[in-house]
Amino acid sequence: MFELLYPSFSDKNIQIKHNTLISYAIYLLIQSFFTGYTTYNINGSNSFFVITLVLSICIPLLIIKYARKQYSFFSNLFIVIIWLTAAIILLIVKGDNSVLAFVLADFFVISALAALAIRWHIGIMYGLASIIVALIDLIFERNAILNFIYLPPIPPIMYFIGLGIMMGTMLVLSITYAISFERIYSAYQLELSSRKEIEDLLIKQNIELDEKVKERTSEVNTRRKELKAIYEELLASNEDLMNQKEELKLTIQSLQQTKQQLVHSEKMASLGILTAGIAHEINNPLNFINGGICNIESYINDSIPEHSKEIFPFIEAVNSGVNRAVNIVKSLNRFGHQTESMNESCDLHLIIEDCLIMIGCEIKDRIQIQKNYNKSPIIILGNEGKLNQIILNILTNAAQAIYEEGVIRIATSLSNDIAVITVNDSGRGINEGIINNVFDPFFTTKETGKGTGLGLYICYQIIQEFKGKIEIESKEEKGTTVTISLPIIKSLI
Amino acid sequence: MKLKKNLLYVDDEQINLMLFQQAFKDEYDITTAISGNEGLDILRLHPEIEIVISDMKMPKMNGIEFITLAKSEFKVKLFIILTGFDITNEIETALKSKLICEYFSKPFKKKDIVTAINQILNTESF
Repeated sequence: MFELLYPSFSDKNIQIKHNTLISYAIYLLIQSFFTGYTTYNINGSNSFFVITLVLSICIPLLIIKYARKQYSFFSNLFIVIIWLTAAIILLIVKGDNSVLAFVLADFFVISALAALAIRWHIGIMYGLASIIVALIDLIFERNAILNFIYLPPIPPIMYFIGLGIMMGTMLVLSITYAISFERIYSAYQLELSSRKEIEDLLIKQNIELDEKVKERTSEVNTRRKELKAIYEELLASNEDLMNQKEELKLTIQSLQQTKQQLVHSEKMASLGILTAGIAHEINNPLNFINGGICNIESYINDSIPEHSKEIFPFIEAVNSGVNRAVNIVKSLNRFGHQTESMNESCDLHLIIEDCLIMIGCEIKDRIQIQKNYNKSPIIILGNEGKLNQIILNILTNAAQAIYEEGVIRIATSLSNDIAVITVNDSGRGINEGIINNVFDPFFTTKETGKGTGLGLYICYQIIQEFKGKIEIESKEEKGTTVTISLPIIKSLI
Repeated sequence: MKLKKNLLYVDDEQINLMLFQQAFKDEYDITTAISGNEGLDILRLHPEIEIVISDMKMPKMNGIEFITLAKSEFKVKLFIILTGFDITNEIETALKSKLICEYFSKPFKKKDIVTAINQILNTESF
C-alpha cells in the first residue's frame, strides 16, 4: 500500500530528509484548510470541493514522485502547467476570479515550502508562476490577494468535515512516512554498520595479512640467511676438498715417482747381480777358449810352423771373438756395478765406449759414430754406475731419435775442472712445445711400453747429484744436441 | 838356461788347470790344485814354490780365504788372484793390505801375467 503510494521510499538509493517530511506535513495542513475554506467560500459546492481536494492531495504526491527523479526542470514545469490548466478551467467554468486567488495563494505556499524543503530553483519557478497569475488577476481588475485576505465569517459544517478528512489523511500519510522513513533509515543504518563491520573486518584482515606477510618475509629471510650460511660452508668445504684433492694428487704423484725410482733402482740392482753372475759364468768358458786357442797357437808354432800361415786367420778370428765377448762382459760388469759411493774414479771415455758397446745393436750398420774426445782421459770422481746410466740414456735417446740412417757425434772436453760431454744426433729432434717437459717424470713421446718417460728425469736427478748441468737444444727434423757439464773435482792424467 | 820358478795354480775347474799348465809350461814349473785345501797341502810338501796363483770363486774356500791361510803359514811367497769377476771390494781390500800383489781377469793374457810376475820379482825381494 505504502509502496504503491510512495514507490520511491522502497528505493534504497534515495535519502529522505527530515525537513522534507515536515514541510510536506505543514503543506498538507495549510492546503486542506484553504481548500476547504476557499471552496466553500466560493460557491458552497461539494463537487468542486472534492475536485480541489483530490488535486490538493494528488499534485503534491506527483511533485514528490517526480521530484525524487533529480527534481528535473521539466518535471516541475509539467506540474506548473497542470496547476495553471486547472486554474484556467476553473476560471472558464466559474468565471470567478476568486478561483485564481485560490490558485495564486496555493502557489505562494507551495513555492515557499518547495524553496524551503526541496530545491531553491523550484521555489523560484513556483514564485514566477504565482506572479504570472497575479498579473492575470490585475488585468481582470480584481484584487485576488485582497479578496483572499478578507475571509468570509463563520464556516459551515462542511468545511469542518473537509478539514477533518484532511487532517486524517495527513495523519495517515505522516505515519506512513514515518514508518517508511524508519525502515529506510534502519536499513541504511544497518547497511552502514555492516559496511563498517566489513571495513573493520577488512582492516583487521589487512593487518593480519600484513603481519603474516611480515612473519613469512622474516621467515624467508632467516631461511635465506641459513641457506647462505650453508652455501658458504659448502663452498669452504668444497675448497678444502679441492685442496685435499690437490694434495692427494701431489702425494700420489710423488708416491708414483718414488715407486718408479724404487722399481728402477731395484731393477738396476737385480741387473747388477745378474750381470756380475753372467760375467763370471761367461768368463770361465771364455778362458777355456782363450787358453785353448793360445795353446793351439803355441803348438802350431812349435810343431807345424809351415801351417801357421793358413791357420793364423782362424786363430785371429777366435781371438777377436773372445776379445769382443770380454769387452761386452766388462761393460755389463761396470754397468751392473751399482754402489752408492760417489768417490769412484770414473774414466769418462771408457764409460762412453762401454755404453756404445751396450747399444751396439741399436746403432749397428745404420748410425755412424763420430768421436771427438779430449786428448787426455777425463776422470770424474763420482759413481761409475750412475755415470754409465746418464751416458747410456743419452746415447740411447740419440740412437732412437734417428729413424733410418744418421750420425751421432760425441765430443768431450775439459776446462777449469769441468768435463763437458756433447752428444749430437741427426735425428728427428724435439718439438719446441714439449722441450720444456722432457725432464718431467713419465713424459715420453714413445709408444706405450717402449719408453718409461723416466730416462731424462733420472739423468737430471743424477746430474744434480754430480752437481752438474744438462742442456738440450733441438730443432725438429734437424737433430738434438745434449750438453752435459760435470765437475771432475780432480783430473788424473 | 835360466832356472824356472815354481808356481802353484789353484782352480776348481779341471780345464782351467790343464790350459794354464800348458800355457805356462815353458816359463814356470807348475803344480796345480783343484781346491784351496789341496793347495795348502801342496805348499806344505813343496816349500820351493814361490808363486801362487788362485782362482777367486771356488767351493768351500774361495781364493782370498785360501791365500789368507797360506800367507799366514808361508810368509815369503808371491800371491796373485786370477778371477772371472771384475774387481770386487774383497779383492780391492786384499790388494791394499798387500795380501795379494796383483789380480788378473779371466780370460787372461799370458803375456800380461808373465810381465807382471817378472816386474814384481825384480822390484821386491823375496
